[in-house]
Amino acid sequence: MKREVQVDKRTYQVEYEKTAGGIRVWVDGRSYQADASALSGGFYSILVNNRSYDAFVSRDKESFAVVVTGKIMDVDFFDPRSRQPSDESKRSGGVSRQTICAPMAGRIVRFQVGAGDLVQDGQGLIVLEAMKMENELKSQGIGQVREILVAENDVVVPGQHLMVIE
Amino acid sequence: MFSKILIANRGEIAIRIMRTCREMGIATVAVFSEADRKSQHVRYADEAYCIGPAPAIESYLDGEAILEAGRRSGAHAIHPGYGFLSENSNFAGKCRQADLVFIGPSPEVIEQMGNKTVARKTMMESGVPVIPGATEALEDLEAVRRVCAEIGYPVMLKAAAGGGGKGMRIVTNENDLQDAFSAVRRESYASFADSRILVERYFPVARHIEVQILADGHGNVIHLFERECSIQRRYQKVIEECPSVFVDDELRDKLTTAAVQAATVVGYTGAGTVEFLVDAAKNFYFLEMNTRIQVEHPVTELVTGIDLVREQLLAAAGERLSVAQSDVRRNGWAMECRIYAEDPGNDYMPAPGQIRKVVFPEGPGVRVDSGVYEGWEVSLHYDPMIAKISVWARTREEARCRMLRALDECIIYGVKTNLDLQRAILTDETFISGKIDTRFLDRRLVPHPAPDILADLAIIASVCSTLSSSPAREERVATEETGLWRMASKYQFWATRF
Repeated sequence: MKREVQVDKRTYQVEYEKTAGGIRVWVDGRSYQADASALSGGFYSILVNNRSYDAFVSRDKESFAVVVTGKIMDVDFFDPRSRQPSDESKRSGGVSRQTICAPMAGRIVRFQVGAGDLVQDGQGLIVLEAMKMENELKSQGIGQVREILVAENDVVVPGQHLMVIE
Repeated sequence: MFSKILIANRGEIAIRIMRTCREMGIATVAVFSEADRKSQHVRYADEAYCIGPAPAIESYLDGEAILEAGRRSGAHAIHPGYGFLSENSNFAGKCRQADLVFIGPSPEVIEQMGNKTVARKTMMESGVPVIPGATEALEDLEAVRRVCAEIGYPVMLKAAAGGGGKGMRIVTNENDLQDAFSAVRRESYASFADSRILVERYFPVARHIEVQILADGHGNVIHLFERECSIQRRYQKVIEECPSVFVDDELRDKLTTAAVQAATVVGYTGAGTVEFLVDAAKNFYFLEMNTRIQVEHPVTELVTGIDLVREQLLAAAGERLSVAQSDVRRNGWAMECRIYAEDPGNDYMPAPGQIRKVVFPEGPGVRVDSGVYEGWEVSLHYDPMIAKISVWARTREEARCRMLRALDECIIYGVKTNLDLQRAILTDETFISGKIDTRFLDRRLVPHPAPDILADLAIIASVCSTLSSSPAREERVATEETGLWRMASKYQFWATRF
């Protein structure tokens, strides 16, 4: 089986097959003979050319989160037909438009800008309180505040849209 | 000694206290907010009482609700842990009125030392150097502005009732003063129900070194050496060590003498910490006194072998400390890494969420204090600390290598953590040389390099997962197993008591 795989933003050509002694995997031409044993709780004991590794794998369809020697890595298998991971956000139109989203659940303490205000790159926009700390959400570029989608004291959930800047 | 105590706290520190209670045959009472029903400290305790909704102000800061739980449970004493009501003299006074022993110093001493302005005055009077700043807590912007002009920028604004890094801001010029003033007041009120502010001169290059003290009601005041706490982010400690690589015998003697004097002057009882700021020339200034157990107390316990919570309980029960100053010995080196659910790449933004997998390190010289388990939801209502990983070894370098080994064994999946940051600190040349100051984390650290083979291994592991069957079912079995073991130890405990 031949696949294109992305690990932490870098792409690798991967090929693998089952063999009598386990599996054979080629990563960008590097060949590995692996003996994998599934343990409980998402853990795998993997012997690669007799070197022993413990891995934890959490799988969501074609995306994996893998922990090896304490390091967490995201592993994405590309769809073999489109050969592109879907990423619409970076390709929408010519006008630079940013939607400020809540990075975590919390409460809106106050706004540092109002609708129609011009904002600079890095300027503070919204103060969000979470876990007893006030966190400033900053603009990622210059623009004008188009819309404010929440009010002061609102409790917001992660990913919720808070403000649109164009 | 008490036969039952209530722990007015949550998470790892509540469990830490209960562990000592269990060793001493003292029954434990937990209190919890509605968000903490499934919290580990509730599961670990012998009894548990709900004291209100999730926001701390309506539960863990609600003194009346906690006293009511104390009455209902028939506890004899209340251990406040750290944070929340631990340095609230009003609450300590209410405990006394309710005939419950507050495990800490008397309300008068908390008022005197917990209140930073009074503490400053006391220190100045007894000849301990203090940082230039306001002599009283302020509530008015104009007054703050005047003090700042007097002592010169940069200044630090902080909550008068504060601690734990909440409600603190550095202000480098007058233009930023108003915003910082408002923010500190709000944070302070939300965390401590007190909006008074302190102002003092800010030292950009300095170390944060503190001295652990213990005192009983029989006139015994001893110190348990210093802790180095200079590795901080947002004024909150990240790595602590005992001893400090910067402190020589001469400085150690001065610091511990000043700390013991401070405690003696006010008639302190229980465990306390005197915090000092130490500049490059080894001048030191009194920062504040924490009239409670500290988060980082394990490093002192590892180096001295003394259980600080046990000594707190002895002092609160009117007994003598179990150790004299001449019994206290420093042995080897200890380090603690605080593991937070946060994103160091995004200004240490807290990262609440569900912990889907957790494996803590084990083996020689490793101690883990934690209040989380698989499936636990790290809530946005409370501090994002997940665990404290501490190690002991003979030398600083051995401790550092042991800590790296321990962190490599640690798996926390589901929430972002500062584990990678901890590794980067521990492998940083400046950290290794010991030339650290409180601004260490302001500069960008080189990430701990991951060998190229790691990405290949991640791919191999993913392929293995693809080719093997139903990992989801097995995951559930593992969680249940852990649960049963915890239960088993609990029943065993009951069996030995009766």
